[in-house]
Amino acid sequence: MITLEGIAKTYDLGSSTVTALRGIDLTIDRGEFLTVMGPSGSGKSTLLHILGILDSADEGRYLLEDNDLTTLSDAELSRIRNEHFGFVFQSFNLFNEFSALENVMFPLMYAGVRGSQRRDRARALLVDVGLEHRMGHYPNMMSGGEQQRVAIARALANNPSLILADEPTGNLPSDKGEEILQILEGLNRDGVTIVMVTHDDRLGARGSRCIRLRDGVVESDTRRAA
Amino acid sequence: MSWADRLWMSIRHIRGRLVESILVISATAIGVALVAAMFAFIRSYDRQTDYLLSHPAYREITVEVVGNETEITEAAVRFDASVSRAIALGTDDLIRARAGVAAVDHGYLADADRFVVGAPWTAGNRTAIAGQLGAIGGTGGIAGGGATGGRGQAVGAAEGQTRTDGEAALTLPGGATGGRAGTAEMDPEQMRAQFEALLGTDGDDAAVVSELPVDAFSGYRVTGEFFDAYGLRAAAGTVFTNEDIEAGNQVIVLGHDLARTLFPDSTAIGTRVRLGIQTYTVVGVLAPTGVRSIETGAAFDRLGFVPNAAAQVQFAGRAISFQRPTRTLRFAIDDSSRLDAAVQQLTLFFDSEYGPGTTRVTASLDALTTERQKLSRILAVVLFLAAAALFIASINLFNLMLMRVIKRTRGIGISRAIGASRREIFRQFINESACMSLTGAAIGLLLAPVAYGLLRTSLIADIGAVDLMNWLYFVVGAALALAVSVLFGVYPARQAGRVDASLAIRSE
Repeated sequence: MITLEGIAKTYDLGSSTVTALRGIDLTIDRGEFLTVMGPSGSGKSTLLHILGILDSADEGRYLLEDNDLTTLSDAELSRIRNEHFGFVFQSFNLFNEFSALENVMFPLMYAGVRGSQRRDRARALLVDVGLEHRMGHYPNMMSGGEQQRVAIARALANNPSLILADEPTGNLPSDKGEEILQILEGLNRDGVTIVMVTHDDRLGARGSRCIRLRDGVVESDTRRAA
Repeated sequence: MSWADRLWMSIRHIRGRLVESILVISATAIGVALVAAMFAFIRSYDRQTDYLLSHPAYREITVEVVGNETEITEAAVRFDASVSRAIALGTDDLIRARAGVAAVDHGYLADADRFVVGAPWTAGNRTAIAGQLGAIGGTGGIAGGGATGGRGQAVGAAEGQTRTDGEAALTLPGGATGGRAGTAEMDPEQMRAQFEALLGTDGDDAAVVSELPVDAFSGYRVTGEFFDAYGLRAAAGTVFTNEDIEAGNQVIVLGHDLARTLFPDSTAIGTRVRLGIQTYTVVGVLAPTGVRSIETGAAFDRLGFVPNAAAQVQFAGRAISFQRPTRTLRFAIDDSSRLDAAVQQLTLFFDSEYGPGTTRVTASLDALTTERQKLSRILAVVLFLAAAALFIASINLFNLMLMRVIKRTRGIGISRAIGASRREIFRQFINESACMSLTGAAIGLLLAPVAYGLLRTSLIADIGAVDLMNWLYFVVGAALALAVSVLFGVYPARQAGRVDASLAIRSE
């Protein structure tokens, strides 16, 4: 599905430069549940952002279904993010001034889904994550677990083929984290490819494949027998 | 994303920061109102100036006796050796000046007056006429005293007749009864008898019209060249001339609309109408004209013109009427570039006639030009202030939007993650600032006429001839101000579009 070839990324912090990734080669197959582990500053989030084309690499090639993304325009990349990728973040990253339902409607709005269709789809997604009683609530009126479920509903709005999750359970108590993980596992069973960044070893072991990063390079890549 | 979605998001964000949004919208409204008002005002001002510059009254040069004018800046009592002798200007001066001053094209008298329809002894008119006589008797008396000392003597010598005849005649109806109150109470028949003894009868009384669709109308007492100077042509009949005045012909020329009002069904020409103590024969009806009175705004189409009574006394054998000394002689030039030369020559002429400093020669155009120059400077300052208000409002909008971009950096990152392009983010922010600008502009457009009214009443006098309300220019002004305001939203929106999504999301 995705092939990264020699991806390198350096951040210019004015006086100094920080090398986040130095030559990553990675192939992600359709239907994988890939966990990315590693200590802080090892480049996990950078890798996730590059995978989600929120950020671009300084060097290397990014092939999505054999198409080179480095040549695409911002509008084309945005459309890919909108239709094929879904993001779930540690701090939920909902729009606090909009209700749960409206938050889920945003990706549909960017995709150009109109009026009642958009609303129906967003309702259905919230029902799927068990929030039918919370649709009109604003994020700051909801618990962390509920917020993260809204975020997942939002990530799923346009039926993405890839979910990119950056420590999705990091801000949640373990029981709520477990709920979120089960939702992700359920999605993976339905065929959605998942890439999840975590530094919790127990969560890392839940995926079908785990890579460890250290100082911007892949240190280990282990597949769990199905 | 559709425009409706974008609008919905803008409204939500504006509502989310309501107080600061309202402040920015208010500031924009004030800025837009001022700019729109100034835009409309300057347009009106220009139109008014153009109108005034093209008006015959501003090709006019007036000659007055110094000391005859009432000016509040003058001391109530003063002694000035140079003005020891009272001078009254008259038609003879007009004629001599026309002969002696080559630069002027026309010379005439023109005094505004109001004409009451019907004979003085008609029930409804008695009070009005009495008032008129009382007022005229008063001024006549004062001026008569002056006139007899100065020009009156010269006229007397030339014509073999003194003005005191006229004075005596005038004071009879009012004076005999001791003023206006007495006249009002006078028996109508007795009054009629007195007038007829004085003026003679109308002859064939039946032919005189003394009831018309209006009770009174305004007009001017003029001399012949007035019509030329103002470009007034007769559509039917003819205008009167100086020869008519010399002959003592009691004639009247009606403005186009006035003739229609007075004689809706019949031809006006040849009709004799009684206006107060005088009977006039209509000799002409003017062609329609756009000219309006500068002082009153009255359309000349609605005015009547009769021979100037002050002139009549001088030429006429029989005509006896109000002895109003002419205070102002009027000269006109066809080409305003010769104005300075004309003023110079007239000054020379009257100085040699009456001595330096006794008469004042004024070109209305000079006064207008001076006034307009002063006003233009004031307008420049006000325009600057209006532009400054708009500028400050726009900077406020700019700052607010920039602050929102910074505050929403993370939100921008999230939007990008869920599929918004840079272009979409730019559009969203420009939409939001444009919403505020547009709301401000709409309110400003409603406020603009108020600001405009304030500017107008405090800066220029209203003249009826020019319609000063021009909505198109309000809208154009507001649209320009809106464009400026929207332009100030471009930079913050571009900044929003440039936000690095990855960094924005990580900024926890």
